[in-house]
Parts: sequence; C-alpha cells; structure tokens
Amino acid sequence: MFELTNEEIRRYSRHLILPEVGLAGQRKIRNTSVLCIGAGGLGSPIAMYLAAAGVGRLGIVDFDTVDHSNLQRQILHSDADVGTSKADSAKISINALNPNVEVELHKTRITADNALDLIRPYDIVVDGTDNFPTRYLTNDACVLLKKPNVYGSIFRFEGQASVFAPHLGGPCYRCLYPEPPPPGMVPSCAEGGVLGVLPGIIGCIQATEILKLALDKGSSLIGRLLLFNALDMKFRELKLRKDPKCPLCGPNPTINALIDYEMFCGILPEPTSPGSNPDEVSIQEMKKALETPSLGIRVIDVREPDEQQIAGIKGVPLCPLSTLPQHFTELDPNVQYYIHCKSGVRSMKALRFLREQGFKYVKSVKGGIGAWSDEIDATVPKY
Amino acid sequence: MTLHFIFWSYFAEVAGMKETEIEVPEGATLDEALEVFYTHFPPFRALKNSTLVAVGVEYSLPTQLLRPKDSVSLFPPVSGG
Repeated sequence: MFELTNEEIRRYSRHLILPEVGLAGQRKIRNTSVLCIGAGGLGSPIAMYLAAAGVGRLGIVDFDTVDHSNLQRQILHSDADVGTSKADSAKISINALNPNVEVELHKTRITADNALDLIRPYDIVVDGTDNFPTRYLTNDACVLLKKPNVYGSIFRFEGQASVFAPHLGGPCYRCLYPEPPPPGMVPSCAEGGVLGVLPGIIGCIQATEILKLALDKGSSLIGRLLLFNALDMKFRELKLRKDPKCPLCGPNPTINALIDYEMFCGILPEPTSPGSNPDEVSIQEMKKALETPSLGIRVIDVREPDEQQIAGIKGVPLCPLSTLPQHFTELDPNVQYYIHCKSGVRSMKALRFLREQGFKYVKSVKGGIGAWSDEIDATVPKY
Repeated sequence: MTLHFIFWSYFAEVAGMKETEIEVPEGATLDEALEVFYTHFPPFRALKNSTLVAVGVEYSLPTQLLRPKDSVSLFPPVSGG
C-alpha cells in the first residue's frame, strides 16, 4: 500500500479524522475498484460520491448518449453534454471533482457475452441499470464471480436498495424476484416518470454501502431490503433470506452460466422495419390518416390528460389507457383506429385490450408522439 | 382467520386499493393463503414469481404457517435507474 500524498491528506482530512476510516481506511478506499453499471440517475450520485471519497479505480459501463430529458436527475451530465457519450461526460465530471481517480470507460452494452470479462477486474459492482434484463444479468454475473452487487432501483417516488452477496451469506436478486414481471407490466422511468432527486437518495445509499464494504465497517444491507417512499418520506426495512430453491445461489443451482436475458424477460427482438409488425403503422401513415378523412381511419391518443397538455397533436381526441375499460364503448368496433401514445408501448396495450373487446381494425403507431416530433413537427415538444 | 394484505407501489394500482382483509382457513400456510388471495385478485396470479411476499417485516417462504391477523405485504419489482 502506497502512502497518501500531502494533497490526498488535505483532500481526505475529514475522513482521516474519523476513527472508523483514518489513514488505513482511506488507503483501503483508494485500493478499491468499483464497476458502476449505468451512468444515469443512480450512476450519477454513485460515481460522484465514490470519486469524492477517493475510490482508486472506477469503471463506468454505458453505451448511451446524453439526452435533454436526462438532465433533471443525471447530475454527472451538463447541458453542454447533450448528444455526447454518457461515459465521456461521466469521466469529465469525475476527474473535475477528483483527478486522482482512475476512470475506466466501457462504452458498450453489457451482455451475456461480455459481462464476466467486464466485471472480473473489479472488487465491487454497483447496479445503476434501468431495465430488468440487465438487472438479472448483473445479478447472475456477480453471483457466478462472487462479487458483491450493490443494488438500487427506483420508480416514480419510491426506491429500493440492498446488497446481494450470496458468497458473504446473503440472498441474491433472484431469491427476491425469481422471475421478471411480464413485459409492459412495469412502466420505465420514461413511461412512468421519476422524481429527479429520488435517484440521488437511493444512489447515495448505494455509495455508502460501497464505502462500508471497502472499509469493512458497520452493518451492510446484506440480507436487508431498504424501501424508501419520498411522498410519505418514510424508510422501511425488510429482512431477507436466501431462497433454498434459488436456481442461482441455492444449494442445487440449475443456472451455472449466463443465459439470454432478453428472452428470459420476454422481450422479443425489435422488428427491423415498421412494416414487419402487422399490428403497427408508421407515424407517416398516421399523418396520412389525419390528412385524408375519406380513408375513414380515426386516430386516438391513449396518453393521460396531463401529457396531452405537455405535447399534443391537433385534432386527435384523448382516450386515456387508464380509463379505456370504462370508455371503450364510446368507440365503434367496426371503424379502423390508429392508436398513439408517447413511445408506442401503451398504444400496443390499448390495441390488445380493444382486440379482446372485439375491435378488429386497430393499429398501434410506432414511436408515438415522439416520432411525430422527430419526423413531422419539431415544434411539438419531446418529454 | 382474517389476514391483512398490503399492496406496495404500483401493486396498489393493479389491485385497485392499498390494502384489504381476506378470510383464509385457520392454520393456512403462506402458499395456501396466496391461493385464496388469487381467487379474489386474479391478476396477481400471473405475477406470482415476480412478487416479493413478506409476512410482517420479514421475507417469507411459501411453507410458513400464518396466524390470525398476520399482515401479508406484496412488493413489486421496479427497474428504474
């Protein structure tokens, strides 16, 4: 272990005077390497606080670019970074805060093919991903490699955090949730919204757990799930235990290698062109239907009223998905409908519902109103 | 015996309520109580393997024996980050 430099002693002085950290603890933090999967809402506070605390080596996995809609919560990125790589933007923020941190960028999508190689060189993994396939992949890879997985996830005003480490006696993510919910069941942050400060709170809890693991101090969240609700401003805790039937970390595991996580989560490969999904039409076809009433095609918007106030298309009536079961009788099952929402997920749900009710001629508009902003009318805001 | 079911997060939207009381046979295990629960709330059956079930404040296994007035909490998985 190298001694701390005078600059480091000044920088970390408030750590050094804590008996639980001290010089020895600060060296442990510097000798710790952490892989942060995702440089988004959770990854932002995690990376910033780990950098500030002096973690020696920080890996960032993110293939995405910064979008305007990220800035409300992803504090690694600035207005000027919009359109640039999230990984590059993260490195600039981290090294501006603490140039001593060695930042390793992995501008790639983590997959079953590369996950083990990505994770192996790090001591601790932190899950800041935003989708179920990557969460199961991260969990499985960490269990197979015996790396602690510092978990956090968020939804609207609520968050959860834990530390999964079967090799240290705790359960894994699969012990809690053996299978992902059916696709479309859980709205993403893009569809469901999220309070901007929420990932700040949950990400800071994850960063705290990482530092405690590095220092080997305190009681970690291994075997506990911390639940937070920002509206109630309440923390609750749930005692966890290993599932003796867990196919991954149980005594008789059936998962001994990484699998196809997209398939496991029921996600079908995206059709190559809009025409290849017979239930979908393109935004151009929707425009044509609006411009040509003689076609007899009606266009409806299944988003919620608040969303239509943010961005709407003139002449398209609202029929929110949430109240469709009460209001579908106002629609004519013999008329052809093109249904749009924000991105094309809810319109597909509405399509399935209407089909079950006997509507034969319904199509979902691929890309929703976002595609309208991109291709037809840029004055309609994207949100 | 009566059990108190609590729906967390968006499960409250799936159930259409935040909590409810359900009558189950005396001495039921958690698994048996859930079977009764699914007859009242069918959409939750398809979510069985993606639901974290706790009795009181502890994650519980299906074989756990329940007592009258136990609280059964159902937590959904969330994936945002």
